[in-house]
Order: sequence, then structure tokens, then C-alpha cells
Amino acid sequence: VRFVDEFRDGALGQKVAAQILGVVEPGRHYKVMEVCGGHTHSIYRYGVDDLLPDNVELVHGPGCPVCVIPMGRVDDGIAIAREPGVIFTCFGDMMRVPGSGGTLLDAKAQGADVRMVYSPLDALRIAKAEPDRPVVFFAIGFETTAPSTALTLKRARADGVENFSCMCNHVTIVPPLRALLESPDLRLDGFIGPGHVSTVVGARPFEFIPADYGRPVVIAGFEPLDILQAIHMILAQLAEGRCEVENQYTRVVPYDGNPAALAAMAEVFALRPHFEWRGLGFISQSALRLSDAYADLDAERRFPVPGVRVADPKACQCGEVLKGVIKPWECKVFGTACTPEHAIGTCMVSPEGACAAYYNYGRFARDRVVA
Amino acid sequence: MRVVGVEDGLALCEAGGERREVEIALLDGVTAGDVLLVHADVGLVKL
Repeated sequence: VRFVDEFRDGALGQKVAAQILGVVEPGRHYKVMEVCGGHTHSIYRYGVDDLLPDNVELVHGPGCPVCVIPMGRVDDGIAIAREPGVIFTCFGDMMRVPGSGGTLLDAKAQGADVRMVYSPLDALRIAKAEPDRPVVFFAIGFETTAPSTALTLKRARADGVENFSCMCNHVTIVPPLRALLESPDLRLDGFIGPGHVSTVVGARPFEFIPADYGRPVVIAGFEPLDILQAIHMILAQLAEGRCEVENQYTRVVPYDGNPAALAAMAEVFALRPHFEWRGLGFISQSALRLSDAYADLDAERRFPVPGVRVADPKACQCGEVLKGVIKPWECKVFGTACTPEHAIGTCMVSPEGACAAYYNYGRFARDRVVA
Repeated sequence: MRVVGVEDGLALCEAGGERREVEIALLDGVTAGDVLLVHADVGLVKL
């Protein structure tokens, strides 16, 4: 398959791995964060980390949209789903994220009409097919999925679909990165930048990382050779004393992003003053709400929501995993009480979550000391 | 996904035997045969 097979070539991977070995200082320990959950998934699916020298450590970042949704927002969604007549739609993995009183899947089992969709356009189709019932789309994701929500809301407005509304949980990637860089318990040497988000926002928004924090960023694709090459580019920058934003994913990411997508987002969304992130707490201007022009399509204005902050279960260490402070297998409940089938934390629910990636690809016992 | 047809601002796309309608409002000049990077049924970029 074009754009896929050529980026999974094992022999080429070995060559890039040899190049990586040539640019690392033997006595130095490198910590490189892959921001995006899609990268985490690819790294463990293809065993990319097995090709790296022992002194190059990959740290998993907060770029899984399902993982960062706090329990209180799940409760808000369930409250709307239980409103009379409501058809509540969301992506499949979101249905399994626990709130304080269960998941959306539990609410469905108890009678709420919760439906899985692959796209907000699917939710709009349901709204058109069921004009007498309110249809709500639970929107999540970074700047990658925000344009799809924006276009759907524009299409709903243009087609006069009045029974459609959106509960907006879209988040933005730059504020949590800044929060991580300000975090005293995390020392990082560089970042593998999020490829899909950058398709929309471009590479320019990441320039603050080298400018303000002196760390290199390389925007990367999602195939194993993409990631290996990005790691080489980061380590080469460090070896050469350079520090800048580079774009490995040039076949997809324009440096200035997708202006049409950014324009659609600017029309439909506005920044929230603050938003709670699982594990990271409240971060200023880190999420989107519907703009005043689209307020009539805002589910949070159409339906009452509790809006209560709910603390994570004490046993769950998703916060530390999302910040890269601990590895998934270091969590007390990883692989025992918390599994993909019965997840306690969000990082085990989503396929992009670091815990699910470790669990599904057999890294659940890595480095664990057995008595 | 590969575009197999375009109509009313939507592209019919195919990948792995599956066909879906994809919003192409963000892209200029999409025609049959183009390969799109698609997220949540929205074409983000032509490859």
C-alpha cells in the first residue's frame, strides 16, 4: 500500500537504528516524549523501542483525547444522555470511560439511548432521520478532530437541523505541553511532535518549545520508520547543539497547517477560560467551547449538566502516566484490577492510551521485578 | 482513503474494501483517484 509499506521496511529500520547509535553520547541518558497517543500505539505495535539504545528512553505524553477527559465530564455526558428522548452519540472508546457512577455503556444498559458513531457526520445523519428527538454529539479530541465537529455544526446550521447539538470537549495541544515543560518532576530532552494535530495547526505553534524551553521538536508520522527517523532527527539536533522545530512528516504536514480547517474552527469554536485535564488539573485556555454564533447548538446550554468535579479513584495513576512520570506497568492496578476489558483508568480504555498499548502488545511485565 | 467519486461536497472514499462518505470542504479540487488523509470522515489533506 502506498504511503504505508515503504514506511514499515525492517531493513531500513535497522539502518536508521544504526544511525541513531551513531549520534548518542554513551554516558548520557536521553528522555524523548512522544506527545501523541497514536505514536505510543505505533511504538509498541512495531517494537520501535526495541531498536533504540538503552540510554534512549521514550516517555509517553498526554496526547490521547479519550485519556485526558476527566470523570466529571463523563458524568455530565451521562446526565444529558438520561434526559427524556435524547439520542446521545459518541465515539466507541468514549462509551467505556468510567465516570463516578459508571460509563455511557452502563447508562445505555440502563435504558439511555447511547449510540456509537464513527464521525460527527453520522450523528447529524441520525438527527436528520429522527427529527422529533434531540440528538447530541459528545465531541472529543485535539485539533485533529475539531475540524470535523466544526464542519458538522456548519452543515447542521446550513441544513436547518434544529434537533442536533454538540457537547464540546475539544482540547488544544499547546497548553498541556507548556504545563508539562513547567512541571518540576519531569526532565525531557526533546519531543516527537503530534503528526495529525500538526496537519491542522502546522508546525509553527510548537516553536515556543525550542525558543522558551530549549528543547527540540520533530513533527513525525505514525509508521515505524517515521518515528525512528524523528528520534534520529531529535538526537542529531542534541548532538549538534541545535534546537529547533523540524518536520519529518512533510508528506502530510504543511508548516502553516490547514488554513481552511483553522478558519472553520475559528468560526465555530471559542477558547474556554480553563478546562480540567485528567492528571494535569485545570489548564488555562486549553479547551474549546462553541462560539456565541453557534451557542444555539451547544448541548450544555440546551440541557442541565451537573458540572461537578470528580476526583479520580485513588488506585488509578493515570495522571502520572499521562505526565510521563511513571510507566504504565508501575501503576498499582495495571494488568490486575485495570485491564482493557475492565478498565479503571482512561489510559487503559482507549487504544491510543499508553496502558492499553503496553497491555495489548505484551509490555505489561517489562522490567517488573518478580520476587 | 482513495476517492472513487465526488458529489455535493462529499467524496465517496474506499479503503480496505470499506466505503464511506467523506466531507471535503477543507480541500480544493478533490477528484476521483485522489488519496486523502481522513479523520472522523473529514478529509484533512491530499496525499
